[in-house]
Amino acid sequence: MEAANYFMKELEKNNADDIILKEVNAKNYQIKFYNSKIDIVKEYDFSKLIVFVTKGKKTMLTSVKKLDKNNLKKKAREIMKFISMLPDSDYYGIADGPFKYRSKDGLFSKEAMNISKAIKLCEEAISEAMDNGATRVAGVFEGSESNEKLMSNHNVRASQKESQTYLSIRSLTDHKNGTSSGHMTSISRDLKGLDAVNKAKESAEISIQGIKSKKINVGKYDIIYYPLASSSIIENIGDAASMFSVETQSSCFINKLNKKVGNDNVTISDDPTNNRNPGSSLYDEEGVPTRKNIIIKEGVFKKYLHNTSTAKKYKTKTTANAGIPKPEASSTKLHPKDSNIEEMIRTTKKGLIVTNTWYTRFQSYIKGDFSTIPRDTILIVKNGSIVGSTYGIRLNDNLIRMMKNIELIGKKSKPIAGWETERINQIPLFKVKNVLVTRPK
Amino acid sequence: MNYEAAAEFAMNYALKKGAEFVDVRADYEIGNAFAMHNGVLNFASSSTSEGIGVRVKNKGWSFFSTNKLEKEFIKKLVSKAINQAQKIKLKDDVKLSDERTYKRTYSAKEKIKVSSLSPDEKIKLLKDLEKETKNSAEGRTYYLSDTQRERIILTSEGTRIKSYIPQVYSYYVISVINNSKTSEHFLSFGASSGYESWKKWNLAERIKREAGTLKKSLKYGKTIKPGFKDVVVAPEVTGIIVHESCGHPLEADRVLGREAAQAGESFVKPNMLGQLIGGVNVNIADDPTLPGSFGFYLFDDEGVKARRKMLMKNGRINEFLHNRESAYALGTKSNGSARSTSYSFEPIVRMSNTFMLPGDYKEEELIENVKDGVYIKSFMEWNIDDKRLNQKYVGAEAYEIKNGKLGKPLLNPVIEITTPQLYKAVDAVANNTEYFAGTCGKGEPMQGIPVWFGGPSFRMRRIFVR
Repeated sequence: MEAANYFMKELEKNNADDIILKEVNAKNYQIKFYNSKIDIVKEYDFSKLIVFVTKGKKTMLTSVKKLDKNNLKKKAREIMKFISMLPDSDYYGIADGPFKYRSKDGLFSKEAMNISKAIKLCEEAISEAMDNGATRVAGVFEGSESNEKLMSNHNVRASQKESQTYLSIRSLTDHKNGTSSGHMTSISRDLKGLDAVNKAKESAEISIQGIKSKKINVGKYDIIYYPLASSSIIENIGDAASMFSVETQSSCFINKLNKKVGNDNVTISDDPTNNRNPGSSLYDEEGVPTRKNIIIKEGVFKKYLHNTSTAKKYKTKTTANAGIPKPEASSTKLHPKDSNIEEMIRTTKKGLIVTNTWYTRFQSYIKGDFSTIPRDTILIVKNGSIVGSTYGIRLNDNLIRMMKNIELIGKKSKPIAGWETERINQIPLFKVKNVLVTRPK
Repeated sequence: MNYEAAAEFAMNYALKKGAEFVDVRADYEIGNAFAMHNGVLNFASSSTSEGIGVRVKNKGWSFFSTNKLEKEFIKKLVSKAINQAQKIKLKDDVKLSDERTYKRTYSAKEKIKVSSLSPDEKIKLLKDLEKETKNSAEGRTYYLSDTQRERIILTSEGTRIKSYIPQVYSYYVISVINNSKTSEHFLSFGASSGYESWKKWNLAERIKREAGTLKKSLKYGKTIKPGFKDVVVAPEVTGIIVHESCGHPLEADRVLGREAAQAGESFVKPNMLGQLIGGVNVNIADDPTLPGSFGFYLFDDEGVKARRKMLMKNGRINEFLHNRESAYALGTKSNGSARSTSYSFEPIVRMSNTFMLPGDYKEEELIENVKDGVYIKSFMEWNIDDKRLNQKYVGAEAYEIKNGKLGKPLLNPVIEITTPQLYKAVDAVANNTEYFAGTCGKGEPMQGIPVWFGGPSFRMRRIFVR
């Protein structure tokens, strides 16, 4: 923190008002594989100092790379010159510390960066998928460690060291009618927690279930979403709860406080507090200790997500969702209930099991209208049983309609990451009634 | 060391340590970004980044990138990468196509230098835009960013390319309300140029016109009666169509399965070159050499000379987009389509500026010949499956066509169609080419890269619209 301390003093000498500095040192690796073979091993090694500075109501976000004193001195002057040219923002301040943080236990495992072991696990995962019906396997195996320190001139001093591992594995089965596929992802703080070999097996098992797929008619179906399939949709609920989305008219929760937006089954929170879950953090970008915030309780919209600035503006308290300069969701969690896949299938007359989606796009963020494309095997459920698989369809829904139609939710909520999502969300299996399914004529 | 010295050092050290092949990309980039919502500045940032990305072959392949440009640290990373590449049982058939080497320096033209405008002058552009448009739409988010990027590309075969590319980018999101009904539209513009491009985009006029027509659509628009109709799409829709359903499926790395777990594969197989999948008047190119374009470059990020690629010629699949790895795998030469977002990523196969070539018609002539149809001027929602076969475009501003004339506005008509169905239905192409900017996402870690997409209006006969 020596450089950060020095820089803080330089910025104060140059009459900055609020200052937040975050120093990050990160290392990560990625093993990329396709057609069942490792293609390349990549390593990244970076350091940066992220800087948020204000002068009155003028705010600026920047970063500094060269941390020698001469450069920091020069940079402080440049920042204050830049900021002097800006107009006022809608800004109301940062958090006042000091804060006490929960234990760091569980955030870090040295093992995450063991590349040799990761390569071995990656090869085992590929073999397992091939042994269980894949004809080709593609994906990535990643590990990272990040060491960060955060300080502000409002008495905040915070630090954390965390690790993360990630596996994305897609099994593809080529057959006479084309190719079916199954995709699984797994995220953990260490290598063991990835359960890589089992995930590989599951991806192949999903893939082979899609071999004999047939077209279905368009119409309304009950949809059973795997966590990977719904993550990009649930993530949008977290985004829409941010006060920034509300202010910029890109949220379906405008004027919805204490109003019913889902059925009684639906409780959704923003929860980055379990250290063992990647995506958790001890503090937000202002250094406020993170907490669990219930956004929707039993179908009623309860809380917008705030940083200190928006909280002051709306005369409430920060939810520890800074975001500099805007409040942001951290990890959106659909709370588990008591159902399971068997019950979901048994209670479905006409439905589909969607194992993955991609390209979720909105026609209207204010209304929440969206469509998404199921990818990989889609199973057909008829009169309580799986009767085959289908392909080439699109799901058309609305965020609020979807939450009102969530009929059953699974028992276990697990952290889920994927190519389509920006954050790590926590989602169980769930079933939505009456979703419009379309396809090209 | 600065980025250039660090690049040379890494190259020389890797060769000294016995690497079979090395290429290095190194950048120094300055960027500024500003965002305003309904007249209030809610984001201002300024950043610089500098670093190197090194790819090494030593039996197998490895890559590293860093922004720590100290000699001893680079030595450590180079040695580790070489060992990694040698030790691990990597795929043994990943080779690069043989390509000519070049030593060149080039830059994009910049009349009003990005560096010549102060932050307050840049923000004034947004303020003026807000002033002119504040009464037109209830929600107005305006974004403006610029970058100045110096890049050097070195290969152990002797290529040395140095470039300077300034870029200016802007997008807007407007939302209009009428009797509790809302409509939204997003559009972006970008150029490899100085701030002279800002004026050309004429955003205020465009926003005012669009907001007005979206409001009228909400007030008077009707839903379409589903059925098979003739559809004329305007350049904004043409752009997204050619990018999604021609550019992406012809990326050779997707065809070969390298992106299977990320952006997906392709309905196009290597043996489909020459296959007819569209009307004879469908010609689609990808061309990074267009001066001033957002996807501009003269040498790709493997140092291969850029050129225009005819992806679809008279309705036939004509050429894939290649980097050196995919070109070798398919027994051909790279056509200069390797791009990396920054020094920190490996170069992968990407589009640059993808567009349908103009035909002989005027847009009004396409409409004149339609008895019962739809004209889609702009879109909001769209998506396409990961094989690039099944796609959907939802109109934002759209009209019915009755007996050769535009009629009432239509509320969100939907085209949901397969790629061959779409291109085979094309019977006429206009000559009113326009380009729009986008940030195309691909790869893992995600690499967002600047592209243009566009073309003229075109007509499709008898496609299903709902």
